[in-house]
Amino acid sequence: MNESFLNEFKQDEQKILSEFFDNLLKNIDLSKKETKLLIDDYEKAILYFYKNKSINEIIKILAVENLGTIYKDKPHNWYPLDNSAKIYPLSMKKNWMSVYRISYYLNDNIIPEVLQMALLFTMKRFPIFRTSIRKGFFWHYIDEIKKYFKVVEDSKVPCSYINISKIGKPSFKVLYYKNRISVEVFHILADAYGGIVFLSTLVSEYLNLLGQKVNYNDLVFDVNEKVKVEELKDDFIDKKIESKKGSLLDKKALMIDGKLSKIRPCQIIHFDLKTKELKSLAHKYNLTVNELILSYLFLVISYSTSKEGFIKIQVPVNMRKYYKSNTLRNFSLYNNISIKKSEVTSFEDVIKKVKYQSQEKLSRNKLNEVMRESNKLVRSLKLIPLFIKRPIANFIYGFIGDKSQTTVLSNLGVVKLPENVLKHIKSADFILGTTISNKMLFSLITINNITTLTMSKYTTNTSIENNLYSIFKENNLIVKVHGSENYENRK
Amino acid sequence: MKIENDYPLIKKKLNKYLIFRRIMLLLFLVSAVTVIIVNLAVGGKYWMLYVIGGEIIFYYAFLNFPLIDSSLVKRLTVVLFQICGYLYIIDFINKTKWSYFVIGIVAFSIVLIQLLLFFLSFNYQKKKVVTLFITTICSIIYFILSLCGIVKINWPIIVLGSVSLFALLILFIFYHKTVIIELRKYFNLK
Repeated sequence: MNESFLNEFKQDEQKILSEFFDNLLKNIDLSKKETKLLIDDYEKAILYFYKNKSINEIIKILAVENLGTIYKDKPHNWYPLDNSAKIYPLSMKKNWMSVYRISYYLNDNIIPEVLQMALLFTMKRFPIFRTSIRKGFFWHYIDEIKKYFKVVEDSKVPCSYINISKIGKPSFKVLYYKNRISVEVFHILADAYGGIVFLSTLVSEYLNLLGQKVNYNDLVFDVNEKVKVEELKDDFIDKKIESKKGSLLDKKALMIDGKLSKIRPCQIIHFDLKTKELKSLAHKYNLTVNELILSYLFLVISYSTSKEGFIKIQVPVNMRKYYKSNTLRNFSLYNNISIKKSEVTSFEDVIKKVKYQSQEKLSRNKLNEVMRESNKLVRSLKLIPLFIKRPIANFIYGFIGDKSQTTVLSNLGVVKLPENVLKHIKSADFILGTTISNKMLFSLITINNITTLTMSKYTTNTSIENNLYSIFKENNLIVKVHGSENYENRK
Repeated sequence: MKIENDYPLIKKKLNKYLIFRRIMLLLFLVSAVTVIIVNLAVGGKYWMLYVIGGEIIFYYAFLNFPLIDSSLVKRLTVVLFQICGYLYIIDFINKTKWSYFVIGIVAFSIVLIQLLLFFLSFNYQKKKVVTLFITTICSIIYFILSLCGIVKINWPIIVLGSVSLFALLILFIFYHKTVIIELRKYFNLK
């Protein structure tokens, strides 16, 4: 403990704090540097709460028991990567990896000291996030770590490379900026559903520490609850899939015009849209919101390129809607909705094709074919050593990579949080991370009657967002357009 | 369309290391092509392999950092093994037959350095025990090959065999649980 910290308190309070910190030190077994950082965090949090709470109240809020035993016990768990995650470390390059970001915008500016404590308390509930990636002889795996985790102020390009080269480095980041809390996750840990659960639980713990009452549900976990085994399962391998033979390969797709930017992404744009109006517009055409946005994307992409070919939009599907699963790890599959550019003649034509393909290609049977083929591929590569697999996968991914799709539209759907958590959140966004050859990636998330469509741009071509803006404005859907500067134009 | 900025403004940063790396790789490429052309044109010993070998060692030592599982022990071991290969090539080209002697010395130094690092900070190093295990097994195999007469036996190889056997015994007597757990993870097929 710092002496200057103790001098802020009265003598009897100093005694209570000394005992508290003695108890804290008995419950952690980290390196000297990390122990000091953790103590500094406690000191900052105590000083923050001391402005309007008594020492005894503060001790109760920041009780050492909230840390759990994860900062003391030796880590002994490890987890093989799920079938979907195996490709991500194989296809990594210097400054390129599959990262996504999910953010919540709260009503008030974030208090970093409290967020830091919320993170320290939340980590015990998510063992998958308390891991570091390791190289095996045949496959990568994730190894539990005993580590101090830190929240960082947002200061880099979104979804930038997470340095995981050293053993013991976590594969995620928690960031804050003004009233926004963000989590950036390397896809080996979890899909966006798992990311949302982690972020929602972190935010609710943050609100709890600030004295707000919070309830729990499927997306908001009680951090003091025991971890459930089903949350850690690879649900790809248990499934008895009866399906026709499918294929993982697809022909080359048409690319959006424009040069790929040096900085990836070069800009993030969020369109905050009115959910009720968007839904009624979708119902007017007998579509879901996802199908409506897909149709708009086909239209604007067809305007944005002079070349001919197939416009293919990859749509990830959360397989938890087809299979009962509580896993927080990857359990999503993908398929392409594809329309020839010359057939994108009118909105009415497009919506017919999108509706038909959504029902056919995003159905359980079709996705089962994809799952069957990916499981088969993983099984066939099982006995090939990693030092052979990795350069081949890297080369193939670099060569084929995302060339079989024009772009991606990933929809997280409506985020249903408990009312007493939801009232503190204004909106949310979801950013898909770096691509190899796609010029743009799209994602959707809905919370509190605001649907946010996010564009991650990898080109300075502005035609797509301008066209989208015109469509949304024409239909009176826009609440706000916000985002980042164009990083390519930085001085 | 007006976009309200709610991301932090980011200053352009010059990554000096990346610039240095690119310059070095370019220099290596130019020098490799030059020495190959000159050596083949002039003829004689393949001295171009000295240059290219040296560049490869420099690359792995200072310009190439693994994206996953990068540790000092691993990188040091890889570079020292490459040096052994490099010494063998020099010896082979010059036909002087000293490399087996020197390689043995370098090899047992690797094992000793790994053992030292392992014991100095066990808590941190135990997750890297697989590197030490594989090095000792390879060294013991090399020692057995020399006992069988496939490789010429000399005192560095005897020291290498002894040190490796000692390291393996220490691992299995005092740290067998750690070794078994780490090997199980390393060779997992799931």
